[in-house]
Amino acid sequence: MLAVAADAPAKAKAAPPPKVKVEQEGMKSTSDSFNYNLKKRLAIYEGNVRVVDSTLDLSCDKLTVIFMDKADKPAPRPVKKPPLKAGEKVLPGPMVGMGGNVKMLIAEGNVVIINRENKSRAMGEKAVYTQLTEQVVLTSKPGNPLPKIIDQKGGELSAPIIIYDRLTGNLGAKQGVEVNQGNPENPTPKEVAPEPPVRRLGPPKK
Amino acid sequence: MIAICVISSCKEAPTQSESDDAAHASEASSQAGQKRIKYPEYERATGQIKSLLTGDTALQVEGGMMLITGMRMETYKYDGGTKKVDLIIEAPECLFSFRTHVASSDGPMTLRRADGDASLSGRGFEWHQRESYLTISNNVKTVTRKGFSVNE
Repeated sequence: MLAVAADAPAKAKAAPPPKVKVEQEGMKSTSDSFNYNLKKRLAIYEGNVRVVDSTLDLSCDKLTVIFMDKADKPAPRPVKKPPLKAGEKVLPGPMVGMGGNVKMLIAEGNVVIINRENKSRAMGEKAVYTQLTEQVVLTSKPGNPLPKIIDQKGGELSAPIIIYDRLTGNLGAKQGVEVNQGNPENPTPKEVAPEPPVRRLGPPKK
Repeated sequence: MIAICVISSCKEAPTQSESDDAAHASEASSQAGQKRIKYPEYERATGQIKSLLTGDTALQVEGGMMLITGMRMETYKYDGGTKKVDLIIEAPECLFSFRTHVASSDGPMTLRRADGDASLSGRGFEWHQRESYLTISNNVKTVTRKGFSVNE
């Protein structure tokens, strides 16, 4: 993932503009087994899969990585990014530090994604990241517990479909949303329903 | 695919087709323990080499298999007409079948990108040379900055 560090100028009189250094940090993963098909550009990690990088911690039973083909074009960015200023936070890079060559990630089975920055946690049966849209869609099989997101304050959002937009940071939900705000003094930030129908159920359950 | 077995002790550069693999296997058998083995795999459509299996020593064992020590497999990508090493798979030893073109081992192995951006290790693997398909069975650990895609 991307990290930004501002180098302080060595001497005050030189006063060069602060350099913004963007570094690609590493990603580490472990699993029981691994299958890699070079022709299909497909990698499958299975069994106790855990992926850790500087921004997130993902665990699941199976992780499928679909790499971009030569015919695939990089995703168009919806918003033109202004020039970076010193200390400004950079938008998240491509998912799990794969350097932009991942087309899609599919995590299946007991999926838990922890945001290492704010300690929020997402859980579900399946999470699909699509590079084209930079969205993560969290779902569960019918009959299983709904996917949910728990923020650092204990607030919960659960719905059959939860969508996280990595570019905007918005969180969306579809089809029967349940919200438990946890600590009411510090409500869950940015809970946005991108598409109707969305049903808000009101105050937290006890 | 077209496969050619080259053993360093052979004086001529062989150009046989896949059907001659058995002949190469028997040749290797008569020269048991010989130094180095090279076994390239070519893309039939383009004639470009797509992978190369090498070993420090090769010894014929039962079932038409070769026991290769110091195994190293390189896969290639092409930037225009320029060939570049993409992935490197290494293992202390493995079995290789001339019939199926499958290299396998129950021991440790490593996989890394030639540019150093990603590496992977595990124990127990199967490499299907014709299909360019790799399976690692146990204790897989991956460290990557750019993943394993052949595309930049």
